[in-house]
Amino acid sequence: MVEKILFIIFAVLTVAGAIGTITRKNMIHGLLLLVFTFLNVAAIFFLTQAYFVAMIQILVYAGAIMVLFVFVLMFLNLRSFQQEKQTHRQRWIALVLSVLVLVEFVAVLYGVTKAKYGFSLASVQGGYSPDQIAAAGGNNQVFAKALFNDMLLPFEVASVVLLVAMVGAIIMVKKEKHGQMATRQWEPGAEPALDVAEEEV
Amino acid sequence: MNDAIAQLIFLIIKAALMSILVVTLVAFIIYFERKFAGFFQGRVGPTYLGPAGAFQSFGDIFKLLSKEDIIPAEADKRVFKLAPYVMFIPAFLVMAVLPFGPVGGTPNLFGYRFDYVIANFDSGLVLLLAMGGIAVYGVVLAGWSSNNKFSLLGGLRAGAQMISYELAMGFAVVGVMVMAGSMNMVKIVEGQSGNFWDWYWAPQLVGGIIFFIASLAELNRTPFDLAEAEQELVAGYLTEYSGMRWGLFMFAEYVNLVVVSGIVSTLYFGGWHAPFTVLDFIPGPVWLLIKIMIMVFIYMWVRWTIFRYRYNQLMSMGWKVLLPLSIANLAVTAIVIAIVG
Repeated sequence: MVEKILFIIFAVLTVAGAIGTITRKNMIHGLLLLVFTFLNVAAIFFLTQAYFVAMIQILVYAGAIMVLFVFVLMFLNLRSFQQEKQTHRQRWIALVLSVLVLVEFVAVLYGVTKAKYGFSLASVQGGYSPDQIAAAGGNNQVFAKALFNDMLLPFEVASVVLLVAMVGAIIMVKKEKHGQMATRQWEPGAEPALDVAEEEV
Repeated sequence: MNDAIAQLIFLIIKAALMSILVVTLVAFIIYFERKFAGFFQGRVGPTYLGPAGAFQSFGDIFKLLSKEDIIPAEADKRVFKLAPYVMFIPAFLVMAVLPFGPVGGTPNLFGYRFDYVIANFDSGLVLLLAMGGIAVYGVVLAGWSSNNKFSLLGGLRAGAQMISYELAMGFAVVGVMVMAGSMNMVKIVEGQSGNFWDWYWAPQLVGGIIFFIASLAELNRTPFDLAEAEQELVAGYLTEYSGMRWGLFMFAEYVNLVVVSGIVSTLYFGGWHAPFTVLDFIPGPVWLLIKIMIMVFIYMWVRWTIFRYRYNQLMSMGWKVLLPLSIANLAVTAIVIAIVG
């Protein structure tokens, strides 16, 4: 009962945060609301006793990735963003795509519950019952077993994809640096014009 | 009264006690810091308010409370007001997983079991890293929302520094996790039962030193206080803050100091365990508090002894020295544990 009430609170806050994210004109405010959304998702994970996933949700999404977003936005001039006209050309495509994603979610959920419990959409359960988790020695043990034994191949593939993306990002940055070398203001060997510097002081 | 209600009441008591403990500790730690700073620099420190200046912190709090609250006209007001709390709350949340004494077992208080920890769950160790990640926002947002060059530079510096050192910190902590075989703070302390040479500081010496250095950077204290390097940036991200908002930042900094000292004591110095098993009759919270105070003193000692690093030195130390070392430490620990068992 308590869990259900808490779930409803956090779910409403999550959706509210998500709506706020896409409606704010100030990008930093939007980002902060996205962080708020992630924190609420972490709270929902916490309610399902998936403590590790909840912590990783905060650590990776709210803590690491969003900080980088905030960093990038801080370097940009936000005022010019706010004055720009927003484009709405993609909205029909976006609408169609989001409806498709929603249909997919419902279909998958429906399929899972139908296969397991007949035609009910409530209380989908994972591969482990609470007794099995207790026997294995805790949530983390079960999680590690699933990740490093049962699902090792997909996990490794995902890791390699991330690594490739990282290496690619570094190479792109390096290329730009080779393209434009820093230009010298004066001839090699000659002193820079001192009188200019002194005047500034 | 059934057990669930008793535990709920205990929980409220524990949370209240923890907050009171931290707040009073912080008030006196600020006084100690000023006294020690004076001692290290050949001065006397505060002397006027109370015996030997002991009530100086309370005087400061009243001064800050009575000051005018100034918000710059061009600041992003909502974010400006939010930032101190973003810094403040994660520090307190970490206190929830710090065990102050034995957990589980026979009833010990009015026929109910009183556990000396607020939240005993697996992944407690990850919580402290996650909260470190959230605390970065406090600094970065404070720097950005002030709409001031110095603030922005300070915020960016602090953010980059905290993210860099978080990695080394995380890898150093994994060494402890592998040794204890758990991410639960209580089990980590239980794994260190025995005399002081059984604690994890001995097998995890490298990891412990890395954790200590990284925690200095996370705390933004000298030698890593580039975010508020006053010679270059006025006061860094704190430049535009005044009155109690500034006080909240300072307060959060010292709460963080207590919390990090508690974490170091828990991970590497046996938590609530006595240094000799003979001394086990003295309750666990006393030992943990003693250890926290010793760690706090060491942090102050470092702060008032070592010079500030240059920014590129700081970054290259984080990425080129601490991170590889911490990964090597983890690899060696894992191999030894796999062979020895």
